[in-house]
Amino acid sequence: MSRSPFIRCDGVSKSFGASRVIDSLQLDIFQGEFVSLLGPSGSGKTTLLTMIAGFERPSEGGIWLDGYRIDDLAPHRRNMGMVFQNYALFPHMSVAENVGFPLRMRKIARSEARTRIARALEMVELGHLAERRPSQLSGGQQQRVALARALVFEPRVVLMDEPLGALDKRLREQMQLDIRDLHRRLGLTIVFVTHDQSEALTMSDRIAVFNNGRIEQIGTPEVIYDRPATRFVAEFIGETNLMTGKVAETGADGSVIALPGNTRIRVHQRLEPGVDVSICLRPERLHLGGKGGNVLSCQVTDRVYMGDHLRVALDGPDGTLIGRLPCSANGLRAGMPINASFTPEDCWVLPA
Amino acid sequence: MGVIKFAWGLVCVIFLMGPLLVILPIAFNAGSFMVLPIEGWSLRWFTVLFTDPAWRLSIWNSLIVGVASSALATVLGTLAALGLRGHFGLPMTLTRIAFLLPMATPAVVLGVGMQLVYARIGLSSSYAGVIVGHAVLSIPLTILSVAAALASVDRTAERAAASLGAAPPKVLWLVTLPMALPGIVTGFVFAFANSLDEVVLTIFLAGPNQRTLAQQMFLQLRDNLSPAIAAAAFSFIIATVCVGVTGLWLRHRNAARSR
Amino acid sequence: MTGSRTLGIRAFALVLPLILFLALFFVWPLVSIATTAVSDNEVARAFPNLGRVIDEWDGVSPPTPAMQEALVADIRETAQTAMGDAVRRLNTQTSGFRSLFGRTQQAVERAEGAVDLPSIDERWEDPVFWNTIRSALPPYTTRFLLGALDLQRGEAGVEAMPPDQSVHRQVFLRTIGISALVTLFCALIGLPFAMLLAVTTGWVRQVLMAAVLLPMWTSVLVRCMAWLIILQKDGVMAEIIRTLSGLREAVPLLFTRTGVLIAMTHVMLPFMILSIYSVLIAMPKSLMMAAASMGARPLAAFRTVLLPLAMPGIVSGALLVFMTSLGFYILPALLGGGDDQLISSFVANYAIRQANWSLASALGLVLLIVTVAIFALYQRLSDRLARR
Repeated sequence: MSRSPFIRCDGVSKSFGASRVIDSLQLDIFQGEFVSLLGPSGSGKTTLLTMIAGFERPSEGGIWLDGYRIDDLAPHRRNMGMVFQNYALFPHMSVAENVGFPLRMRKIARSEARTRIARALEMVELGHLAERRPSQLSGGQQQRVALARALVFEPRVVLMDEPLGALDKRLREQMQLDIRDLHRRLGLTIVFVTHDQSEALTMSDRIAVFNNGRIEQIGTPEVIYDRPATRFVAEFIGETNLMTGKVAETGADGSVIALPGNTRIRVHQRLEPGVDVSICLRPERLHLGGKGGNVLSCQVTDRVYMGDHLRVALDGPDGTLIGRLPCSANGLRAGMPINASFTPEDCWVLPA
Repeated sequence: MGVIKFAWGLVCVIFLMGPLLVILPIAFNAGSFMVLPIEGWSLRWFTVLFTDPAWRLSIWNSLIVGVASSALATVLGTLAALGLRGHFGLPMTLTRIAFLLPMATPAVVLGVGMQLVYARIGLSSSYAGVIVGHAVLSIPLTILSVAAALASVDRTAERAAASLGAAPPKVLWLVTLPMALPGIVTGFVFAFANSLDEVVLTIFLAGPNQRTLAQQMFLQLRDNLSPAIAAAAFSFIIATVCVGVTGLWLRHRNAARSR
Repeated sequence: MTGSRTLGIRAFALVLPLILFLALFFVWPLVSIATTAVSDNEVARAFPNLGRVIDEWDGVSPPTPAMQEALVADIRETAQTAMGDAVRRLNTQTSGFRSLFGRTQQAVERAEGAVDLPSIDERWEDPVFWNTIRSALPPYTTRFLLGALDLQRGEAGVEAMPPDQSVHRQVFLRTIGISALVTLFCALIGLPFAMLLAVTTGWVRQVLMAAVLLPMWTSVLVRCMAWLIILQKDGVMAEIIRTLSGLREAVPLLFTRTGVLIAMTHVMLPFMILSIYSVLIAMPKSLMMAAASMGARPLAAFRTVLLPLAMPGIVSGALLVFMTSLGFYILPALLGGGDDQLISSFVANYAIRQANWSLASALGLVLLIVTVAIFALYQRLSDRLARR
């Protein structure tokens, strides 16, 4: 069954003067989906969000909402809730007035508005603060008000621009769970901009990784993490060991890649011989001992106790490897020779 | 070192504040001359100030001209500040400077020019003429004040309002202007104080019927020194302090809000 | 999020009312001043008929019949007062014109129809008088602008006016001199005070700041009045000076240059202090300590560190004070004597007392140009300061 996308960005480009911030970008978002736009600052993710919201117009290409092209639709007619990094609450209105603002704009009867404001504030557990001014609230409370305000009018889409960026770590993690919960309960379509990869991994149905105005890869968190499409994605998401070499031979059960230091590594992908490739190996896939298919003899150069795991730096035949080992390997000391091993399935091969 | 600093500071403060303090007792002088020490305490000159027809007329004129010209300057200044907001580049700098020029133009020069123009368009010796003249002088104050206030209005709040369904006029009316209100009020107050204080341009533009309080004080000071001027000056100082305190309070409230 | 270099339609519509307002009530008056300063309609208005025909004349041969006819028509049609003004004006250029014209007017009034002018007075044969009229006919003149600078157009081009008529140059020099002195006094008092303001904290700073702001907010008129009381004979200041100097004679202060200087310094001082203070307060406190730690004695540290850093504030403050001082009118009018009046007083006098709009405009135009030039300097400086 093929669904038609709810939001479609087709060949969207945006230039400010001579600089091209977004370059012929393609993105489909489906109803009820939680899509994160992830990337370093300046990669164009916020610009795309502001174009979806209607504050900027694409220089080329178009944006469709539910089958209608909305490039010429003013922001206030798009019926999208938006949450900003700095909350953007109206300082001269009370919390209830802030939340009631979109209802007032839609000329909803006062009695109904009152119940809906109360319900929205209950939803973010702030019913008791309705008469306060935003300046009298903490950062987390302000963010909840902003959330309630963006949801109270049941918008078709909720856009979030790094909404948790200004919160401290604990509050941020709590809010991540809350937003995900709201998404599930209300069946919202959410486009979420963030530069925090762990935030994107925890919250999203799909992640679009941005770099230099282009989408490097779109996929579920699992795909993005385990099978990155490019070096950029591999390096931007989580920690990774990258080893560059050439495909030496290819058989029925995979290929063998020769590294410059004469190490040969088996992978399960079937690749064309002679091609330059990068092997991507996540630190937690690295094990101690001689089993697993690929074995490298290394020397421990550094070990750091991290509480739930042990982080080791190994000096191998082809450069440094980072490993995440269980704490049971606590006996390792700098200078000790060890064997590091991993299976062909643990490796993911990228074009170099 | 400390003694020298202290003495210097004290001398300066006396130099700056002394003249203002001198006026206060003279306003309550029972005698008929503006001299220190005063002959006795009395409110007779305040009575003169508020009952003498010439003084009363000038007070009314000052209020009429002050309110009308400040309102005019505030409306024009606010509109322009809204239009200029967020623009930059050479044309903008030029426009800005052009709006500030009335501040730099010597009042006498403007007075001569406006009288030449008024003679042609029939605004000589009219309330409208004086109001317009004062507004010209006050516009830089209102523009600066409103522009500063607008610069501090969070753009994302306006975007938020738009995304929540507010059309541009609603955004302006419900979000931008309320958030800039302290600056607009400050601009109005400055303009009013400016109008109250204005003498030179008024001499050129006002006829006997439009004589303002400041102008009346000027003429009285030049021609006959009656302590009624001191009573007027006393009222001026009190008004100044009130305006100053209001300004500080507004700024304080603003700071508290944005915190 | 992004600014733009061009005004959109909406933005333009918002700014338009102000542009129109200022064009009508600010630019037009200034343009009027400029045109009034250089326009000269007195003669052209009195001789409209002659103005139409005189250009065909070669300037050396005797007057043509058409010119004579036109002059007679002008004498009959032009109102008495307008003609009087024009004749007075022409007489200053060529003496004898008034008597010639008086006689001619009487003769023309008596006669009906065509009149032969040389038969009334043979001076009409002389091209000099006709040329006098012709030279005064063009609507534009540099006469008033030159007059504002005590210059006139003589036979050998532009020359200085005789000393007994030269007043403006002296007034300009006086205006500049007094403004410069006030600027100097403000800098000398303002710099140490601003430094004091920058190093103090707590209530002391509040008091010092109030001492700067309260006078600044107070009406200039009120401050003039205060100085009128303080400076008067047997007033507070005279008392202080007598006590300090031990003189028995009272020193006259009111209606003197000294009094004007003191009061103008008082009026302008807050601007200078705030201008310097704004620069000092932005300066890291550690700089002076660093200079001291490197062995600079206080005076050396002041000269090598503080003064150069405070200089932009001093300069922009000085420009502001100087520019404003140039335009002072009511303070010298109330506190100064006849010899302490600045250029503004002369402009006002010509305009209000003598209704000599041309000269008032010319003087005002010169003042305006000087002021605007200083204002441009001030803007450039404060722009550069703001960008740092």
